Amino acid sequence: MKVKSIALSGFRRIEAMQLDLHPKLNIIVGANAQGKTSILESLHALALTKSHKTISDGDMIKTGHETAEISAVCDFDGREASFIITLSKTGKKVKYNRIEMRRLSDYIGRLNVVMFAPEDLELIKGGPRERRRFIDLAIGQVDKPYVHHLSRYRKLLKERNEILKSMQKDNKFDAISLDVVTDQLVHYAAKIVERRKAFIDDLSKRLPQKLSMLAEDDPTLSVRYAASVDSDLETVFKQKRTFDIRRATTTIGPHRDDCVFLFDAKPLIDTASQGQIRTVVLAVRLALIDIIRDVVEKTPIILLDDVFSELDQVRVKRIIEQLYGDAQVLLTATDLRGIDVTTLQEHHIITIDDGQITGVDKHGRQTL
Amino acid sequence: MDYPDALNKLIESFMRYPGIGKKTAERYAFHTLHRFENEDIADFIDSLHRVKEEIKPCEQCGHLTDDSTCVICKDTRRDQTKILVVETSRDVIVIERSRSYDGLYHVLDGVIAPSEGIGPEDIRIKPLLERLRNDDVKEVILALNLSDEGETTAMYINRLLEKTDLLCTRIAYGLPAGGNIGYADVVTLHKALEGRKKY
Repeated sequence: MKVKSIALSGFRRIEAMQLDLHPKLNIIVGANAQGKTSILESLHALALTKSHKTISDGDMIKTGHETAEISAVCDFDGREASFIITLSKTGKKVKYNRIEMRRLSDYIGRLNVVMFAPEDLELIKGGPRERRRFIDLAIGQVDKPYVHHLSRYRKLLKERNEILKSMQKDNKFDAISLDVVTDQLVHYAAKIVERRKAFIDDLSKRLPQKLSMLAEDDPTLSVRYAASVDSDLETVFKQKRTFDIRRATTTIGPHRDDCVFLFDAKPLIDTASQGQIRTVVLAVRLALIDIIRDVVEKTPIILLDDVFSELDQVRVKRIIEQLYGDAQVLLTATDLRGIDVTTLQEHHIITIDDGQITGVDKHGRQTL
Repeated sequence: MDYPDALNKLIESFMRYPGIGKKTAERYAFHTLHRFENEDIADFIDSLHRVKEEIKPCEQCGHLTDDSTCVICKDTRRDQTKILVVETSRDVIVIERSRSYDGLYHVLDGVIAPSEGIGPEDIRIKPLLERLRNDDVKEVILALNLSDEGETTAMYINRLLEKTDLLCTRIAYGLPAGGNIGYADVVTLHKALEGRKKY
């Protein structure tokens, strides 16, 4: 899959922008805070309906604007498809081939992206919420029913918590309401946990090989799912019933789960250096590219936000080699120093300043 | 520029209806002004008053009526052993038009929606349980919408009736008449397969 062109309006600091992309490599150059990351973020939001950062959708709308719109024309092996997302303070609307999709689960997964960003370090250093977010976004790209199950789970969780709160307060809801909602919640919880475990196992198997490309002598990397419930969900929910009523909230379930990254079977957060963490999160994203490629049989769009400034030339070269082939890559850089442009064949260099494109240098043959 | 006061008031009144925007309200107002005779207007005013004064829920089933009990509950020829549970009065009318049911009804006037704070006490579940104490009733048929809240409400009522010897059934879900499998959504197909019957 390739993005042929993208148009933005009211997104971040960009008033309006139209940009044609090279099918292989696009290097976006500009000083800090000029809108480079916004372009990558917009593609992430267009594909997955969320920013790569843990922020609310409204934060992506330009100050003074009611809505932000991102649209793109993409190419799937010669078949054209269009994507549009409109973000507003009250919600978001998505259109695929100009038809509005009322369920996000019908939309997400049609356009696949993998983003490498400085925020990725949060995957190791941040809290369980960041890791669950990573897992959910990743599985959502390859498994439509998962997106649906997740949204049902979230709604039922909210309902169960409302019921638990009311049982302490005004008794508007009784024990039967609690049990009826719990039964449905457990049904979806089981599906979610099972799918997440399978994903983490798959990821874990792929990690050592990816890490060895980036660092020779690091210990063996793996990841393990850390569920808040490790036996039968239905039984545990029954056992925790009184406790949950007293706490007036749902204390167990996939919304409380986590995953742990390990070096030689020990949590790596305790021992890994900053540099090691950086290569670990790179390895995780590289493995994710493979997971998506294996399922959808197409290479996702690869978004590299400022990842090269922190890495040495040898590693940069390895990553570029790994990504080359059929992938479309967008990468940002403050300048071209870290990148040996002469070794790259076909690419566009897009210069951006104050939220506007100031130049597009086309290098190499135009295909597509 | 604004319309004269009386016309403005009328436009605003029409705009209080769901689905009526400014433009439609203006059309209705101008139609009233130019096309309505005095007696049309008197009829209109009269029916607006009467609907508020005369229409109320049936004391037994909750269906809309202009008497203390509705025509369905009064009709002794109907099968008194079955009660069909629906969300709204509109559902009763639709099912009646289909002429496929001859038992009694019970209108819940809503569904349980915990996220909106609507609990079992807020809908007519208690009146249903009172009616079920009557020995004649043998079967409760749940005909709630196939929405998340409809499901929760159906499960709730079923749970209440589990310990009684009443038969609790629910209507089948599946393809609509003239429905094309190729165009059916995933949930419909799933329910249709789940509820398949022996030929």
